[in-house]
Amino acid sequence: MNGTRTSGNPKLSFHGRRRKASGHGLTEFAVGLIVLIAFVFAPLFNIAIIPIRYLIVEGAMTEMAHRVVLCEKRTEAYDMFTQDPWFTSILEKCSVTIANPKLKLTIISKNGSSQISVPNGVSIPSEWLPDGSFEPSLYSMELSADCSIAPLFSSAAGLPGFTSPITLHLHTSSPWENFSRDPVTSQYFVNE
Amino acid sequence: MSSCTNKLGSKGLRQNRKFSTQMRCRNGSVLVLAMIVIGLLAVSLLIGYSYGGLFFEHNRLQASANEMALAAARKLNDKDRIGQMNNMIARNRQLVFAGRQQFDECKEKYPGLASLAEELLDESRDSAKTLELQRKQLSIVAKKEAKQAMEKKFEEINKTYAMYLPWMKVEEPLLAGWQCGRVVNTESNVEVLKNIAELEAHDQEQNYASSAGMKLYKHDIDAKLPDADGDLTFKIAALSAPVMKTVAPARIILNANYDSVVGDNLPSACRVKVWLPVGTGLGPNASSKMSCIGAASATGGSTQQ
Repeated sequence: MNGTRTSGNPKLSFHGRRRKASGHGLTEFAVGLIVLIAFVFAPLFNIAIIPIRYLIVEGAMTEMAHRVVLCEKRTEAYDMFTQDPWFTSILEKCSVTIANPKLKLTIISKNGSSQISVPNGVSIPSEWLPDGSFEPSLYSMELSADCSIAPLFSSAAGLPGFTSPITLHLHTSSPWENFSRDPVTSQYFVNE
Repeated sequence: MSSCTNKLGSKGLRQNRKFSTQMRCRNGSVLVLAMIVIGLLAVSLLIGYSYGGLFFEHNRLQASANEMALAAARKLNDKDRIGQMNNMIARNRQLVFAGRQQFDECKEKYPGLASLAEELLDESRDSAKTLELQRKQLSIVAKKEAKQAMEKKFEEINKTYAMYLPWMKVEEPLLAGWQCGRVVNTESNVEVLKNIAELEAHDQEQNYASSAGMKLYKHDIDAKLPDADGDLTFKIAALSAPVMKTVAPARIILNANYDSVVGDNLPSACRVKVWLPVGTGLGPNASSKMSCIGAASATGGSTQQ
């Protein structure tokens, strides 16, 4: 508006142009700032929280897998996995929901050529026991789950990872610790 | 920038220069601002990741505590010394009981042999007293060696923790304490001796032995003998028994499965507590200590020869 009124006087015009330029710059600067924050800073921050949460979930799953292998019996390990509130509470705090959590025992033979998975409630076949014919050497409890990791600002629908949770299938394992036998039943604790 | 100057033409060079300077300033401001914002974002993310890393520090500290507890526990029953002590005590107890029976029988039926039987009884009783002294000595030695092994392991690992960032400080871990105890629901490694029916009945009556599965002497008992030999001490400690020639290896256990031993009984498990001081570097100074407890069980008793 200033520029239009003072267009006849070159001095005023120059002065006006200067003022107009500064004003224009400030307006441009403000818009640029808003665009930068709204379309660069906020989305980047929104996405950047996902790797942090992923690392926490990965750490929690590793910790849980480590805890279950320290149990005396395998049944106790399954009970701990389903009943221990620590695992679910820490994930809830990180806005992570888990689905299809699974815990199974995987046994790998001495030469690594064959392996077997033993789910909850199933006994280990005699040939896969520590003194069995397959000479198994590695017993590990494998924990897997579908983890929905939410960004900082999340809604039910939208682009996964940007406006809605991203679902990842996470998997971790830890070697079984107790290879002694139960004096009451004479069975291996890993098979109880 | 040169394209802007061309568009304005050749007139009013000074004006153009000022205008182009303004253009440079404006563009520069946005660039500087963008760089500041991106820089702030990068720094905030870096700090966020560093604090996220504390979770992994905690896992690492837990692993270290477990490792230290395992090193100590392995030393407790080194060369099956606790298992052998338990077996010797149980057999000596049987010897004293048998000696007393023989002495009583000789006094009643063969008085001429009573002095010889008394000598044998005294010998076995002296052995029981010596064994009790040795058990106490073993308790001191085993705990001392376990502590040394644990401290050695601690020295190996504690130099690797310190991390000083401008916004976060992680110090070297501190050894908060350690204990020797036993694993819950674990009886002794000694099966109830079955050669003397009277002794077996006495043990049953006194509830010295477990009832299900292998008949093992219970953990942390003082299996007193009846009557005149009731003054002797026969303390049998908790230790995983060999089952079908399978010896329980030393292993890490859950802290919930650790329990203290009663009195001065021999230990078969260790528990270690470590602290890791962490603090903030920027802004308000806040510091705290991460705490982890590791527990481990000693190697079980070997099969008796």
